[in-house]
Amino acid sequence: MRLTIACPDALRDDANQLAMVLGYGPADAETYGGLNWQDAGGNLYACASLPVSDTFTTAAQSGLQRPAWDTDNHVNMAGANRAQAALVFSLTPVTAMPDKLTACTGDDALATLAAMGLTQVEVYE
Amino acid sequence: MRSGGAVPFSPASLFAGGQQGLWLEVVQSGEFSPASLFAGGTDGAWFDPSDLSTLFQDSAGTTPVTASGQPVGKMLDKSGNGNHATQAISAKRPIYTEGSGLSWLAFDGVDDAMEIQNAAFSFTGDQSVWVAAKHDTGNGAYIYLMGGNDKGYLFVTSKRTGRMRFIPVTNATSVVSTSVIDTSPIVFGGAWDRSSGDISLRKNGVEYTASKTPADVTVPVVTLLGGGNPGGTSWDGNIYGAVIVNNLTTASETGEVEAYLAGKAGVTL
Repeated sequence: MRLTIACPDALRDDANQLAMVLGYGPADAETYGGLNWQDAGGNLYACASLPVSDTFTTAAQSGLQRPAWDTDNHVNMAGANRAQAALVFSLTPVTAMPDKLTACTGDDALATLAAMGLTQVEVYE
Repeated sequence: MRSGGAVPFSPASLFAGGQQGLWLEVVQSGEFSPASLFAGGTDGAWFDPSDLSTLFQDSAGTTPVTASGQPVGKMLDKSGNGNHATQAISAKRPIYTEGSGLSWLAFDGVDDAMEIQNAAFSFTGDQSVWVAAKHDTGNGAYIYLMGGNDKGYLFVTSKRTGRMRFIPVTNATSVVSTSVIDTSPIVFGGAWDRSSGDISLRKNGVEYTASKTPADVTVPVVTLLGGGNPGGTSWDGNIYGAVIVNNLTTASETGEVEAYLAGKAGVTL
Protein backbone atom coordinates (compact mmCIF):
# COMPACT_ATOMS: atom_id res chain seq x y z
CA MET A 1 0.00 0.00 0.00
CA ARG A 2 1.07 3.60 -0.46
CA LEU A 3 1.20 5.88 2.55
CA THR A 4 1.09 9.65 2.17
CA ILE A 5 2.00 11.80 5.15
CA ALA A 6 1.41 15.47 5.85
CA CYS A 7 3.75 17.01 8.39
CA PRO A 8 3.09 20.52 9.72
CA ASP A 9 6.02 22.88 10.12
CA ALA A 10 6.03 22.60 13.91
CA LEU A 11 6.48 18.83 13.78
CA ARG A 12 9.13 18.61 11.06
CA ASP A 13 12.12 18.08 13.31
CA ASP A 14 10.40 15.42 15.38
CA ALA A 15 8.88 13.74 12.31
CA ASN A 16 12.31 13.46 10.74
CA GLN A 17 13.51 11.70 13.87
CA LEU A 18 10.62 9.26 13.52
CA ALA A 19 11.46 8.81 9.83
CA MET A 20 14.96 7.73 10.79
CA VAL A 21 13.61 5.22 13.31
CA LEU A 22 11.28 3.71 10.73
CA GLY A 23 13.67 4.14 7.80
CA TYR A 24 17.11 2.94 6.93
CA GLY A 25 19.67 5.51 7.97
CA PRO A 26 20.63 9.09 8.80
CA ALA A 27 19.65 10.33 5.34
CA ASP A 28 16.02 9.80 6.32
CA ALA A 29 16.39 12.83 8.59
CA GLU A 30 15.58 14.82 5.46
CA THR A 31 12.31 13.07 4.72
CA TYR A 32 10.25 16.16 5.50
CA GLY A 33 11.81 19.12 3.76
CA GLY A 34 10.11 21.90 1.86
CA LEU A 35 6.80 23.28 3.09
CA ASN A 36 5.19 22.88 -0.30
CA TRP A 37 1.60 22.18 0.73
CA GLN A 38 -1.02 24.17 2.58
CA ASP A 39 -4.46 23.62 4.03
CA ALA A 40 -7.48 25.86 3.71
CA GLY A 41 -6.31 27.86 6.70
CA GLY A 42 -2.94 28.59 5.15
CA ASN A 43 -1.04 26.23 7.44
CA LEU A 44 2.03 24.83 5.71
CA TYR A 45 3.04 21.19 5.47
CA ALA A 46 5.94 19.13 4.25
CA CYS A 47 4.68 15.96 2.66
CA ALA A 48 6.10 12.55 1.89
CA SER A 49 4.72 9.53 0.10
CA LEU A 50 6.06 6.01 -0.14
CA PRO A 51 4.97 2.41 -0.56
CA VAL A 52 4.94 0.60 2.78
CA SER A 53 4.31 -2.87 4.12
CA ASP A 54 1.96 -3.88 6.91
CA THR A 55 5.08 -4.33 9.00
CA PHE A 56 5.91 -0.65 8.54
CA THR A 57 2.50 0.57 9.63
CA THR A 58 2.58 -1.74 12.63
CA ALA A 59 6.03 -0.51 13.61
CA ALA A 60 4.95 3.10 13.20
CA GLN A 61 2.24 2.58 15.79
CA SER A 62 4.21 0.37 18.20
CA GLY A 63 6.80 1.16 20.83
CA LEU A 64 9.83 2.73 19.16
CA GLN A 65 13.33 1.38 19.49
CA ARG A 66 16.57 3.01 18.47
CA PRO A 67 17.50 1.58 15.05
CA ALA A 68 20.39 -0.85 14.93
CA TRP A 69 22.42 1.42 12.63
CA ASP A 70 22.28 4.29 15.12
CA THR A 71 25.26 3.34 17.23
CA ASP A 72 26.19 7.02 17.67
CA ASN A 73 22.82 8.07 19.09
CA HIS A 74 22.13 10.17 16.04
CA VAL A 75 18.38 9.86 16.48
CA ASN A 76 16.59 11.98 19.04
CA MET A 77 14.30 9.28 20.38
CA ALA A 78 12.33 11.78 22.47
CA GLY A 79 11.54 13.67 19.29
CA ALA A 80 10.60 10.47 17.50
CA ASN A 81 8.23 9.58 20.32
CA ARG A 82 6.66 13.05 20.21
CA ALA A 83 6.06 12.63 16.49
CA GLN A 84 4.53 9.21 17.05
CA ALA A 85 2.24 10.66 19.71
CA ALA A 86 1.04 13.17 17.13
CA LEU A 87 0.53 10.50 14.46
CA VAL A 88 -2.91 10.06 12.97
CA PHE A 89 -3.03 6.96 10.81
CA SER A 90 -6.02 6.32 8.58
CA LEU A 91 -6.90 3.84 5.83
CA THR A 92 -8.98 6.58 4.24
CA PRO A 93 -8.07 10.23 3.71
CA VAL A 94 -8.74 12.51 6.65
CA THR A 95 -8.22 16.25 6.88
CA ALA A 96 -4.66 17.22 7.72
CA MET A 97 -4.28 19.11 10.97
CA PRO A 98 -1.57 21.61 11.90
CA ASP A 99 -0.81 19.85 15.18
CA LYS A 100 -0.85 16.29 13.85
CA LEU A 101 1.30 14.08 11.68
CA THR A 102 -1.40 12.81 9.37
CA ALA A 103 -0.73 9.59 7.45
CA CYS A 104 -3.29 8.20 5.02
CA THR A 105 -3.27 5.30 2.62
CA GLY A 106 -4.21 5.61 -1.04
CA ASP A 107 -2.73 4.48 -4.33
CA ASP A 108 -2.54 7.98 -5.79
CA ALA A 109 -0.45 10.24 -3.59
CA LEU A 110 -1.63 13.49 -5.11
CA ALA A 111 -5.28 12.45 -4.90
CA THR A 112 -4.74 11.51 -1.28
CA LEU A 113 -3.24 14.91 -0.49
CA ALA A 114 -6.16 16.60 -2.19
CA ALA A 115 -8.57 14.53 -0.14
CA MET A 116 -6.66 15.58 2.96
CA GLY A 117 -7.51 19.16 2.09
CA LEU A 118 -4.05 20.17 0.91
CA THR A 119 -3.05 22.13 -2.14
CA GLN A 120 0.38 22.74 -3.51
CA VAL A 121 2.10 26.01 -2.72
CA GLU A 122 3.09 27.51 -6.02
CA VAL A 123 6.56 28.91 -5.84
CA TYR A 124 7.90 29.52 -9.32
CA GLU A 125 6.90 30.17 -12.87
CA MET B 1 7.32 -8.46 -19.39
CA ARG B 2 10.05 -9.46 -17.03
CA SER B 3 9.44 -12.49 -14.87
CA GLY B 4 11.03 -11.07 -11.75
CA GLY B 5 13.47 -13.95 -11.60
CA ALA B 6 17.23 -13.85 -11.60
CA VAL B 7 18.77 -10.57 -12.63
CA PRO B 8 20.80 -10.85 -15.84
CA PHE B 9 24.43 -9.96 -15.37
CA SER B 10 25.67 -6.66 -16.66
CA PRO B 11 29.19 -5.25 -16.32
CA ALA B 12 27.51 -2.14 -14.93
CA SER B 13 27.13 -3.96 -11.63
CA LEU B 14 30.90 -4.02 -11.27
CA PHE B 15 30.93 -0.24 -10.97
CA ALA B 16 28.06 0.05 -8.48
CA GLY B 17 30.25 1.21 -5.66
CA GLY B 18 31.96 3.86 -7.71
CA GLN B 19 34.82 1.66 -8.80
CA GLN B 20 36.86 3.00 -11.66
CA GLY B 21 37.22 1.02 -14.83
CA LEU B 22 36.23 0.73 -18.42
CA TRP B 23 33.33 -1.10 -20.02
CA LEU B 24 33.26 -1.39 -23.76
CA GLU B 25 30.08 -2.68 -25.32
CA VAL B 26 30.10 -4.08 -28.82
CA VAL B 27 26.99 -3.04 -30.68
CA GLN B 28 25.81 -4.77 -33.83
CA SER B 29 26.32 -2.77 -36.96
CA GLY B 30 23.35 -0.52 -37.58
CA GLU B 31 22.09 -0.71 -34.03
CA PHE B 32 22.35 2.64 -32.28
CA SER B 33 23.46 2.83 -28.69
CA PRO B 34 23.70 6.08 -26.72
CA ALA B 35 27.12 4.82 -25.63
CA SER B 36 28.45 6.08 -28.95
CA LEU B 37 27.73 9.67 -27.88
CA PHE B 38 30.31 9.40 -25.14
CA ALA B 39 33.15 8.04 -27.21
CA GLY B 40 36.36 9.97 -26.81
CA GLY B 41 35.62 10.92 -23.24
CA THR B 42 32.59 13.13 -23.72
CA ASP B 43 31.01 13.67 -20.33
CA GLY B 44 27.36 13.27 -19.55
CA ALA B 45 25.07 10.50 -18.42
CA TRP B 46 22.79 7.82 -19.82
CA PHE B 47 20.03 6.36 -17.70
CA ASP B 48 18.13 3.28 -18.81
CA PRO B 49 15.55 1.98 -16.30
CA SER B 50 14.82 -0.96 -18.61
CA ASP B 51 18.27 -2.34 -17.79
CA LEU B 52 17.53 -3.96 -14.47
CA SER B 53 21.20 -4.57 -13.78
CA THR B 54 21.71 -0.82 -13.37
CA LEU B 55 19.09 -0.41 -10.65
CA PHE B 56 19.53 -0.78 -6.91
CA GLN B 57 17.06 -0.38 -4.08
CA ASP B 58 19.50 1.50 -1.86
CA SER B 59 21.67 4.48 -2.61
CA ALA B 60 24.84 2.55 -1.82
CA GLY B 61 24.13 0.17 -4.66
CA THR B 62 24.20 -3.02 -2.60
CA THR B 63 20.64 -4.37 -2.98
CA PRO B 64 19.63 -4.91 -6.61
CA VAL B 65 16.19 -4.19 -7.93
CA THR B 66 14.77 -7.55 -8.95
CA ALA B 67 11.07 -6.95 -9.55
CA SER B 68 8.49 -4.39 -10.46
CA GLY B 69 7.27 -2.38 -7.49
CA GLN B 70 10.61 -2.00 -5.74
CA PRO B 71 12.12 1.40 -4.85
CA VAL B 72 15.16 2.68 -6.71
CA GLY B 73 17.88 4.31 -4.62
CA LYS B 74 20.58 4.16 -7.25
CA MET B 75 20.54 4.06 -11.05
CA LEU B 76 23.85 3.53 -12.74
CA ASP B 77 25.02 5.83 -15.49
CA LYS B 78 25.60 3.71 -18.60
CA SER B 79 27.67 6.38 -20.35
CA GLY B 80 30.81 5.19 -18.64
CA ASN B 81 31.28 8.52 -16.88
CA GLY B 82 30.18 7.32 -13.46
CA ASN B 83 27.56 10.03 -13.09
CA HIS B 84 25.12 7.78 -11.31
CA ALA B 85 21.73 8.94 -10.02
CA THR B 86 21.01 8.33 -6.35
CA GLN B 87 18.41 8.98 -3.69
CA ALA B 88 19.55 8.45 -0.11
CA ILE B 89 16.21 9.33 1.49
CA SER B 90 14.07 6.21 1.44
CA ALA B 91 10.70 7.98 1.15
CA LYS B 92 11.88 9.88 -1.92
CA ARG B 93 12.84 6.92 -4.07
CA PRO B 94 10.89 6.35 -7.28
CA ILE B 95 9.45 2.92 -7.97
CA TYR B 96 10.70 0.58 -10.68
CA THR B 97 7.67 -0.45 -12.67
CA GLU B 98 6.95 -2.76 -15.61
CA GLY B 99 3.97 -2.95 -17.91
CA SER B 100 3.02 -3.49 -21.54
CA GLY B 101 6.54 -4.50 -22.39
CA LEU B 102 8.03 -1.28 -21.04
CA SER B 103 9.97 -0.44 -17.91
CA TRP B 104 10.15 2.88 -16.12
CA LEU B 105 10.68 4.74 -12.87
CA ALA B 106 7.40 5.96 -11.38
CA PHE B 107 7.64 9.27 -9.51
CA ASP B 108 4.82 10.07 -7.07
CA GLY B 109 4.50 13.82 -7.67
CA VAL B 110 5.05 14.54 -3.98
CA ASP B 111 8.69 14.07 -3.08
CA ASP B 112 10.33 11.48 -5.33
CA ALA B 113 13.46 12.52 -7.20
CA MET B 114 16.96 11.26 -7.90
CA GLU B 115 20.07 13.35 -7.61
CA ILE B 116 22.38 13.33 -10.61
CA GLN B 117 26.06 13.98 -10.17
CA ASN B 118 26.87 17.55 -11.16
CA ALA B 119 29.67 16.25 -13.30
CA ALA B 120 27.06 14.98 -15.73
CA PHE B 121 26.36 18.52 -16.83
CA SER B 122 28.47 21.02 -18.63
CA PHE B 123 28.16 24.32 -16.87
CA THR B 124 30.37 26.14 -19.31
CA GLY B 125 29.98 24.44 -22.67
CA ASP B 126 27.36 23.06 -25.01
CA GLN B 127 24.68 20.80 -23.63
CA SER B 128 22.18 18.35 -25.06
CA VAL B 129 19.51 16.69 -22.91
CA TRP B 130 16.71 14.24 -23.56
CA VAL B 131 14.18 12.66 -21.24
CA ALA B 132 11.46 10.17 -22.18
CA ALA B 133 8.58 10.58 -19.79
CA LYS B 134 4.86 10.25 -19.26
CA HIS B 135 2.92 12.79 -17.30
CA ASP B 136 0.05 11.60 -15.10
CA THR B 137 -2.85 13.71 -13.99
CA GLY B 138 -1.45 15.78 -11.20
CA ASN B 139 -1.76 18.64 -8.84
CA GLY B 140 -1.96 21.46 -11.31
CA ALA B 141 1.12 23.27 -10.12
CA TYR B 142 4.69 23.28 -11.32
CA ILE B 143 6.16 19.94 -12.10
CA TYR B 144 9.83 19.43 -12.66
CA LEU B 145 11.10 16.74 -14.94
CA MET B 146 14.69 17.66 -14.36
CA GLY B 147 15.91 20.57 -12.33
CA GLY B 148 18.55 22.23 -10.28
CA ASN B 149 18.84 24.39 -7.25
CA ASP B 150 16.80 27.57 -6.86
CA LYS B 151 15.63 28.71 -10.31
CA GLY B 152 18.38 27.04 -12.21
CA TYR B 153 16.29 24.37 -13.78
CA LEU B 154 17.84 22.51 -16.55
CA PHE B 155 14.60 21.17 -17.83
CA VAL B 156 11.18 22.06 -16.63
CA THR B 157 7.60 21.43 -17.50
CA SER B 158 4.58 23.07 -16.09
CA LYS B 159 1.37 21.13 -16.21
CA ARG B 160 -0.86 23.96 -15.16
CA THR B 161 0.11 26.12 -18.07
CA GLY B 162 0.95 23.28 -20.40
CA ARG B 163 4.29 24.85 -21.16
CA MET B 164 7.58 23.15 -21.64
CA ARG B 165 10.70 25.04 -20.72
CA PHE B 166 14.41 24.60 -20.96
CA ILE B 167 16.26 26.78 -18.49
CA PRO B 168 19.92 25.88 -18.34
CA VAL B 169 20.93 28.56 -15.89
CA THR B 170 19.81 30.53 -12.89
CA ASN B 171 17.28 33.22 -13.67
CA ALA B 172 17.56 32.40 -17.33
CA THR B 173 15.08 33.44 -19.91
CA SER B 174 13.33 30.26 -20.78
CA VAL B 175 12.25 28.81 -24.06
CA VAL B 176 8.51 28.41 -23.92
CA SER B 177 6.17 26.34 -25.96
CA THR B 178 2.46 25.87 -25.56
CA SER B 179 0.23 22.85 -25.35
CA VAL B 180 2.99 20.32 -25.34
CA ILE B 181 1.99 18.52 -22.17
CA ASP B 182 -0.48 15.69 -22.22
CA THR B 183 -0.71 12.32 -20.55
CA SER B 184 0.90 10.38 -23.38
CA PRO B 185 4.55 9.37 -23.24
CA ILE B 186 6.76 12.06 -24.74
CA VAL B 187 10.40 12.34 -25.68
CA PHE B 188 11.55 15.78 -24.55
CA GLY B 189 14.76 17.30 -25.75
CA GLY B 190 16.72 20.45 -25.16
CA ALA B 191 20.03 21.79 -26.38
CA TRP B 192 22.12 24.85 -25.70
CA ASP B 193 24.68 26.03 -28.21
CA ARG B 194 26.95 28.35 -26.28
CA SER B 195 28.71 29.73 -29.32
CA SER B 196 25.61 30.88 -31.15
CA GLY B 197 23.51 31.34 -28.04
CA ASP B 198 20.67 29.27 -29.39
CA ILE B 199 18.54 27.26 -27.01
CA SER B 200 16.37 24.72 -28.74
CA LEU B 201 13.52 22.62 -27.44
CA ARG B 202 12.21 19.42 -28.97
CA LYS B 203 9.24 17.15 -28.49
CA ASN B 204 8.88 13.74 -30.14
CA GLY B 205 11.50 14.42 -32.73
CA VAL B 206 10.28 17.85 -33.71
CA GLU B 207 11.96 21.12 -32.79
CA TYR B 208 9.43 23.33 -31.12
CA THR B 209 11.24 26.57 -30.71
CA ALA B 210 14.57 28.24 -30.20
CA SER B 211 15.80 31.48 -28.67
CA LYS B 212 18.95 33.26 -27.73
CA THR B 213 21.15 32.77 -24.74
CA PRO B 214 20.07 34.43 -21.51
CA ALA B 215 22.44 36.92 -19.99
CA ASP B 216 22.76 35.17 -16.66
CA VAL B 217 24.90 32.08 -16.93
CA THR B 218 25.05 31.21 -13.24
CA VAL B 219 24.69 27.49 -13.03
CA PRO B 220 22.47 25.34 -10.82
CA VAL B 221 24.14 23.53 -7.95
CA VAL B 222 22.18 20.34 -7.56
CA THR B 223 20.44 18.62 -10.40
CA LEU B 224 17.60 16.22 -9.93
CA LEU B 225 15.88 13.75 -12.20
CA GLY B 226 12.16 13.82 -11.54
CA GLY B 227 12.36 16.90 -9.35
CA GLY B 228 13.11 20.58 -9.25
CA ASN B 229 14.67 22.35 -6.33
CA PRO B 230 15.63 20.04 -3.46
CA GLY B 231 12.70 19.69 -1.10
CA GLY B 232 10.30 20.72 -3.82
CA THR B 233 7.61 18.68 -5.45
CA SER B 234 8.37 16.06 -8.02
CA TRP B 235 7.37 14.79 -11.40
CA ASP B 236 4.09 12.91 -11.23
CA GLY B 237 4.50 10.15 -13.71
CA ASN B 238 6.98 7.90 -15.45
CA ILE B 239 10.53 8.36 -16.68
CA TYR B 240 11.63 5.80 -19.24
CA GLY B 241 15.13 7.03 -19.84
CA ALA B 242 17.40 10.04 -20.08
CA VAL B 243 20.50 11.01 -22.02
CA ILE B 244 22.69 13.99 -21.12
CA VAL B 245 25.58 14.87 -23.40
CA ASN B 246 28.07 17.68 -22.86
CA ASN B 247 28.19 18.75 -26.45
CA LEU B 248 25.84 19.39 -29.33
CA THR B 249 24.87 16.27 -31.17
CA THR B 250 24.60 16.10 -34.93
CA ALA B 251 21.19 15.97 -36.53
CA SER B 252 21.72 12.29 -37.18
CA GLU B 253 22.69 11.59 -33.59
CA THR B 254 19.76 13.62 -32.34
CA GLY B 255 17.41 11.55 -34.45
CA GLU B 256 18.95 8.33 -33.23
CA VAL B 257 18.76 9.31 -29.57
CA GLU B 258 15.15 10.33 -29.94
CA ALA B 259 14.28 7.11 -31.76
CA TYR B 260 16.04 5.14 -29.03
CA LEU B 261 14.17 6.89 -26.25
CA ALA B 262 10.91 6.68 -28.17
CA GLY B 263 11.33 2.92 -28.20
CA LYS B 264 11.86 2.91 -24.45
CA ALA B 265 8.68 4.94 -23.90
CA GLY B 266 6.48 3.32 -26.51
CA VAL B 267 6.32 6.53 -28.51
CA THR B 268 5.87 6.47 -32.27
CA LEU B 269 7.82 9.32 -33.83
